[in-house]
Amino acid sequence: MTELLLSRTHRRRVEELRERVETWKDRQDEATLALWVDDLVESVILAAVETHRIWALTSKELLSRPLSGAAVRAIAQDVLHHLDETLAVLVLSDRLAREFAEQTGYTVERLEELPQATQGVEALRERIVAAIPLTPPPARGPDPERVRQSREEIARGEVIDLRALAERVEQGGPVEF
Amino acid sequence: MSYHVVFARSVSRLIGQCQLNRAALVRLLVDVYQALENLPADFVRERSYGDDALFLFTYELWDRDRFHTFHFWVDDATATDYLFVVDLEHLSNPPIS
Repeated sequence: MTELLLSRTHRRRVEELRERVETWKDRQDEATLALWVDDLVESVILAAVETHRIWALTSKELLSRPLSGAAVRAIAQDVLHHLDETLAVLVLSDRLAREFAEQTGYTVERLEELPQATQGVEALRERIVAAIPLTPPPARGPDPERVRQSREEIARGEVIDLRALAERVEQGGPVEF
Repeated sequence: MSYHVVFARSVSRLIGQCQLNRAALVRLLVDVYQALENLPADFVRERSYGDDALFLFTYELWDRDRFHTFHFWVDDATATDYLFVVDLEHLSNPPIS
């Protein structure tokens, strides 16, 4: 399911961007490098924008039906891994582009948009982490008063078989009795 | 071993207050009874410190825009072959959008 939601094209694009950033030092010609830096910055900004679009599609899919907690957690972990890779490329590109601008005096196009793009991806990451716990939250422990009340109900026969309750609710009946 | 799984009345009320939609509610009930009915003998039962007749069963569900965690406290000591669900803690995370 995750593969359907998280575009393979976008994954490849981020991988390509990472490889491009890693070959930075191999570029010696300043004029060519300036064009290359402009293109890189624009590409990583577009990758950040694409991340939001992909998440919008993913969350639309999540809204469509109930899913097990484990399935949603697996999707979230996959998306977070991808966001972390995107963030790493954004941060590295920002640093290298600024170094290049300082060393050469060249004005890199759209460079000032990079911090905002990075913050946008970071904010998206925070929203996902807040919405989907990566480990089950701890239980507080049973409420002694409620346990006592439940045991009294059990003693009085005020109980319902869970299988019968599930069948009743499935047929449109109430969960309470 | 197959158990009869039973909710106390107050626990079924708590389930009703969780504001799940019907499809999610059915899924929760079916998943929980299937898991507890066929609870493996080697299931690690995390016991309550204050009441060792109770063990914790945690179930997680995504419904609409929220992640829900249900901590059920289950009594497996009162009657043979029966599991009585006597308390529920429901936690929900902020919505995704």
